[in-house]
Amino acid sequence: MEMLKVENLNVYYGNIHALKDMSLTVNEGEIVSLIGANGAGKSTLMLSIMHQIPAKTGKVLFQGKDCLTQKTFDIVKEGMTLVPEGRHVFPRTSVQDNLLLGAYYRRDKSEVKKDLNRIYEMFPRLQERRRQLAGTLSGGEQQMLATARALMSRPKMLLLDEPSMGLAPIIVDQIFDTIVRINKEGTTILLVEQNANQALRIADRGYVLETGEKTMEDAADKLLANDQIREAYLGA
Amino acid sequence: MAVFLQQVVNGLAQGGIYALIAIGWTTVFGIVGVMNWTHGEVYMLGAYVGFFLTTYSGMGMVPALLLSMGAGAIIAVLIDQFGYVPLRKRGTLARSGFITALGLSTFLRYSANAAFSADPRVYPALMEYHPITLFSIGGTAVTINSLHLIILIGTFIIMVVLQLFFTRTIIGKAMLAGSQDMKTLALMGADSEKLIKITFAISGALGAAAGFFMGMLYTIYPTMGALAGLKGWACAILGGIGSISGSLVGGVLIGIAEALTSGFVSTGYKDAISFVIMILVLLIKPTGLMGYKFEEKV
Repeated sequence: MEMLKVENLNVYYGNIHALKDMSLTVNEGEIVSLIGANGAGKSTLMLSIMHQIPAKTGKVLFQGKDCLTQKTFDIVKEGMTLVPEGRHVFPRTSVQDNLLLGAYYRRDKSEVKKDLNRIYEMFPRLQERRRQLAGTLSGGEQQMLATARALMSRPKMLLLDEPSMGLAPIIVDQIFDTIVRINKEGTTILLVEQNANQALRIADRGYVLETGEKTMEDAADKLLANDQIREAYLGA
Repeated sequence: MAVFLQQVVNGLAQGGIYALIAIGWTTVFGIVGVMNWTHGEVYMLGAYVGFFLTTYSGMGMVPALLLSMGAGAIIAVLIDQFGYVPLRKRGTLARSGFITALGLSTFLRYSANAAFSADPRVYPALMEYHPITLFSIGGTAVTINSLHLIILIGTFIIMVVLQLFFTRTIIGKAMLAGSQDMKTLALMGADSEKLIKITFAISGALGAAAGFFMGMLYTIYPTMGALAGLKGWACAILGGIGSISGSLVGGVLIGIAEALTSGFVSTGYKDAISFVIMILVLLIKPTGLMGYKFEEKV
């Protein structure tokens, strides 16, 4: 079943045509990875799916509902959210309050509490540091926190923008393990990564973006085996 | 020494009032990103609402204070709705919000002048007025005026409630988070417009409370908000823009500085001292006593 469908999306920054006729689909239960160089339009696509930046033309459908006529917070309530590039935890707010804010719109307080405990089981590090200000966490911990915070809204679909950026290799492995685990527990995932190798390894399908355009789409293992991709993105 | 401490005590109530004004400034600036110059006018209107309630309906201090705060909240929300919402929709608030605010502020100030006349008004006596001895040093008693004490207690209660709101409720936490990163807060399902309205309501209620307390201390007049608004801003800068506890500290320090200036230098310099402090803070430590670096708002 199609969960997210982007059709012929065009986004401009002033005169710059940042996304050109972009189309993609993500099916329920999948991990789909978007790879491409810096400036290819990956983050722009993520932000316009969440309607944090406006699109000029095209469609974004989440579970058949048009996202471009909705505000960001309504899209979140429908069950889709984004862990933005650069993590964006609230630095002067405690770890626990960051997590509770993730459940901001939910009124089922007892379920929120259960989810908080579940998150702490999944990320014991966050429980240890729950009273600390989020700004004092390491980069890897902040990425964990941002991801965990997004899970607190109980998303059916999670968008992750460069979760491995600037992190040590061992932490990156943890982050990718976490993504797989979240997916296994029933959340559909659209992942943007510069770390193409790992992103494609955990993905079902992949898209390649270049200067605002989709240049390739295929099953992830086929992309991993593709010579052109290997040369351009996998350093092989 | 006793004389010095007496001046410090004399400055406390005024400092509490400045702190109330400063917090209203700083919350709106932190969350909405606009220098809301109408804040001084909300303070003035709050003082007038209190005056009319206590004078013509003979209402007591506490109910009149609460109603004034309610009126202040409504006025501030209306100012946002008609003044700032259209700019936010067009995304020009950061650029033109400042000028709109100045225009609205002047409009409100002189509308009040026309409606209420420029004559200063005096609140009826709302309570007994006598000095209370706090302690004595070398035979000289340091006293606090009962009126000052009530204002300090009122300010303190408001601060405690505010602190509980920001640390214990999800909406309060969201407001603090919004002042750090409103865009990301939307990804948690938060409606920024709703939070902004709550911010203005709180700011207005605090401004009106300050106006009410000021009315209990001194005469009120339609242009009273001009200087008080600026001073509130000076206190917010001293404490660190965006920091609520900083505003509290900044307000009290400037209240005390004014009392010391009028006691030991000259009452003529009383109104200047807060701005001398403000300019020095901006030159030496622009983030203030408890502030942090501010990011550009969208």
